[in-house]
Amino acid sequence: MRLPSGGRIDRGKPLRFTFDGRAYSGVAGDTLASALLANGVHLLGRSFKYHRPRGLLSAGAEEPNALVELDCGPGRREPNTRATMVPLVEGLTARSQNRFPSLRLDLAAAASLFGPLLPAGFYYKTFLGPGREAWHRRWEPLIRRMAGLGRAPEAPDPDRYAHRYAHCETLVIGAGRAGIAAALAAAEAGDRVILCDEQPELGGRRLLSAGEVPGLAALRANPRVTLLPRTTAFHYGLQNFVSLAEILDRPDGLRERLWQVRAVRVVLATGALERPLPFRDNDRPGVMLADAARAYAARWAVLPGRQAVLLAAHDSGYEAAFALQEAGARIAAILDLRAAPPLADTARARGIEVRAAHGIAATRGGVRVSGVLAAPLRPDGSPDAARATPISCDLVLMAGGWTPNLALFSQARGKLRWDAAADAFLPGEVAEALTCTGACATGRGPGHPVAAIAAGALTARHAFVDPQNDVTTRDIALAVQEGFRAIEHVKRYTTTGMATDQGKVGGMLGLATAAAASGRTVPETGHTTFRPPYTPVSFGTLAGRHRGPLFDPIRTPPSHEWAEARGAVFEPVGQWQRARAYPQAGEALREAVARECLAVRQQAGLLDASTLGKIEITGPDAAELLERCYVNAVHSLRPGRCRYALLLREDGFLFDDGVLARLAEDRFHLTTTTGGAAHVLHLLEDYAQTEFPELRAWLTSTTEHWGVAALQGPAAREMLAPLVRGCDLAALPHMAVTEAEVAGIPARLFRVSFTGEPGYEINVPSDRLPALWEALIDAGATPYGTDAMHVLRAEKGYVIVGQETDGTVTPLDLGLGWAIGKGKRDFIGKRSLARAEMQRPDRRQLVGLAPLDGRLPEEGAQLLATSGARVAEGHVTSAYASAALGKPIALGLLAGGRARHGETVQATRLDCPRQPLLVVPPVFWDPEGKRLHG
Amino acid sequence: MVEIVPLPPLRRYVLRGDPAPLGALGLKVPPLLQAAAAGAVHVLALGPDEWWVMAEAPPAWPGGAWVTEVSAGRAGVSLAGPDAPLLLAEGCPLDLTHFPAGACTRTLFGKVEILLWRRGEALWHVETARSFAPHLAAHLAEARADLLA
Repeated sequence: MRLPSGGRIDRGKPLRFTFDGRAYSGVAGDTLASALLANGVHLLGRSFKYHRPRGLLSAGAEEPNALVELDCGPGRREPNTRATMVPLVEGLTARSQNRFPSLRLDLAAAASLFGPLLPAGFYYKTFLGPGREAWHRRWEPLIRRMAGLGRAPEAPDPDRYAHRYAHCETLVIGAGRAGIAAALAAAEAGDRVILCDEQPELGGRRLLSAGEVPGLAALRANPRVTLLPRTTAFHYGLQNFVSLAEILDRPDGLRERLWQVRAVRVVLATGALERPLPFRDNDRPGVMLADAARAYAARWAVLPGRQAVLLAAHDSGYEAAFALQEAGARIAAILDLRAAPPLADTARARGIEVRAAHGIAATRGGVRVSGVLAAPLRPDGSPDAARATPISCDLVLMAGGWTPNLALFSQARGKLRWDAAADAFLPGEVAEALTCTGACATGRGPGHPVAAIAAGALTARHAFVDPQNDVTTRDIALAVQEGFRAIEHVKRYTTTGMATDQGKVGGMLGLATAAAASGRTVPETGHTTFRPPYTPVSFGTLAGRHRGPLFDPIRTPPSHEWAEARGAVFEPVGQWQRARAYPQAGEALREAVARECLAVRQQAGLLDASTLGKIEITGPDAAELLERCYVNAVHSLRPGRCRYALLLREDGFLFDDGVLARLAEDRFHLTTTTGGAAHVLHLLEDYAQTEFPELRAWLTSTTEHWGVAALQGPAAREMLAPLVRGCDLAALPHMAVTEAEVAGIPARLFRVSFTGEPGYEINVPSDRLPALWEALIDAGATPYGTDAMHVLRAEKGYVIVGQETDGTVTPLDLGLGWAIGKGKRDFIGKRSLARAEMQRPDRRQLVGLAPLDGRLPEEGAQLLATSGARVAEGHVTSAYASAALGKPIALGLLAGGRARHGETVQATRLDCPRQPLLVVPPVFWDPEGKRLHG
Repeated sequence: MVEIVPLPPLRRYVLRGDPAPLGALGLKVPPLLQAAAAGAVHVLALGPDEWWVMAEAPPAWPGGAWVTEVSAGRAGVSLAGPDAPLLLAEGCPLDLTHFPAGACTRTLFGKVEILLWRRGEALWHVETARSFAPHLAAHLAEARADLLA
């Protein structure tokens, strides 16, 4: 019921909205929760496990029950939204969740009757042991259908999410009285201040009073202060790196912003959370936290009931009851768990009946509370139902006392200490530059001890401790009875305080119940950890702009536009998009690859090899640095010559390969694999800086400066020669480099081959590569892609790091022992290579594999000695249809393979029992290498 | 207010080890993470033994300099306007209030490593490796649109 006056709302701005298809109206300043209450809607959802009817428990971020689905159009369906945190806007469409067929009549609520069948640990008991079968067949499908909250959205999210890094001297979390005071003090001292609060309006509990919140105007006027309403600090990282989720909901589609704040100091002013009280059917709609009911009346001018009963364990409940009375509600009675309530006389003076040492034996009603059974307490603190008397009411207020909200403090690795006088865990030792202020530091004064509250409710039925996870006092008592002692185990076994609750509502009461059930004190029982996020954060906020085209950088080589215009097929290689093949009109990919391969073997092909990593090594000790890192003899490499170079890890396994070219005494040009470029640079830089700081040698990445056109094939020289100035191609031997001008562009011209054909890799500044490319195409070269490149190198037995290797392969395994410089004092991995294990003759070695059935083997297939063998002796690493040879070929690693040429092994297949493969030398094409040097 | 303008073509050189060749170009050796200039030739001290020289035309390097040209391997944008730091805060984790004109460093913007150089009070040079430049520009453009709205 909306009150005629008061509240921080604008009655002049009505807003229409729907809930479960019914039209309602609220006003500007409402939350969805307050607007529903104003319309007399108390039943807002069904519970997770038992489908019990639920209404609002709170007015804030801790709300466990009122989780609704918002529907703001395609892609904007959002499940599990707390109605208390949704500002009302025109046209808002909300739906209740977890009900069938309707919220009011929910068939699954029958589960509530079978509650005893789903006790604590139900999942564990049925997962394991003899129940496991039944779990899979029966319970899991049933529970999957019934349980779970909300439906995940299916359409792509059309909105945008922003990100901002921010730095400040003081970050204040929580804009209540204490937070505002801390922000003012820091601002006065000249700090950059960020003050954030999860509520749309800053002020905290000060918003329970009318008027401007003191201090806010001064903060707003200070340009060094950033005020962030609707912003939840959800994660507290190391060294005051705090993540905030700001909800913007801008009409142009900017939805949320993730802030990552590095603060010199953090002030936690996160307040305290009121606790519910455990009694039978304490989850019925109309039963809510006393302070929440007060907030609905004060902030939103909504009376959540006309006739209220207060169950008090703390004086704050009286304040709430008095406020509601002033707002027009009748307080039917105050039941106080304490024997001598301090405010009893004040209440009586207001005409309110107060019954000391009383509790609630049960609530009455259906989907809304209609009354309570008020009962005097037995000596053990439990209500004596036999002596209970009914009281009619439509609202039950629970004032269970206050828990300092230390979730972020705990995330910041702060230690909580039990304070007996405050009857609460308070901040203890801190691990960061942070302070706590206000109610989160001190609590809000003791009430009836939480231990006594819990002890009095151990045997109550349906006394919910954690309404979101449907955990009752009996569930926790059962867990303790079954032997769970550690509070973390009790939490997991019962699910209390799990998921999004993280102890906000049920944490303190849950552990007090565990303590009571096990006969221990609260501090002996301890508390569970508070895990991030403090409240749920949307995936969109975390992903930010990195979705769709901005998901990850897409890197393209310099010939990309040319390739795209000619209909090339691309493949991702790490972040690179490389042309896989250049199919002509009507040509299938397979046909294109075969044609490209033959063009290279018979004429000349052109590959964009720009993605290869390139490092320039300069300095008087450049050769020495490389000598100490690569396996090769580097000092003996003369300027103008190249070597196939191998880099190992310290464990002796191959890390990367490439071509090392010496340009001058003090200058090298080194290539790496495409994927290894950054890793190799980092590894070499690491050694240069930490192992060999005395060497005057420096590394500079030139990967993207040089565009590389690889011209390969018997006609390569003939095609290239007319374009070259300043170099005699005929005099350039295999594995040599020279400076030259190609097609009018200054170039580093390498004679190298990754195909087995004579070939050149022409390096020009990458912005000039398109011009060089066109010139070579005009000269008659056939463009070929990475697929053909793979086939051609495999025909020649050239390995690809990462395909023939997997981090457990040495150069010796690959037959590359010749590359290792003889008599070298050291190189990375040398000592490991010398281990006996690395020299065993039965290590897996590179072999060629010729299919005897003429079919293409499967890459990854395991190799068996006989078709019945059960132990793999190797695997197929590469397999291709070879156009040049007219048959399929494969490479593989096989135990002792080099000594097994001529043997037939069996490859596993998915589509038939086994495939016979003849073990052959790994070089299928031109084994003598006549073509290469021709 | 911030504009995003593509960088003009620049010659870029990485000088390592010994800064003496800078003198031959008329450049002073700037303190670490700062830039210096002689006419249109700029030098950025990006590491204890690493100086990047940027110019519109190739400078006359003296013989024996351990210098490597990286001109074509780099691309990026200029950010002009007072809100450039706010735009950069979208993806750069540095506290740019402590980044005066003349400062330079390697850092990150979103998923891309960048070279950030504050050329003037309201003029920022942001460059990255050639193939990352389209992603960088698109990320900045989307963030800028939201900043202005």
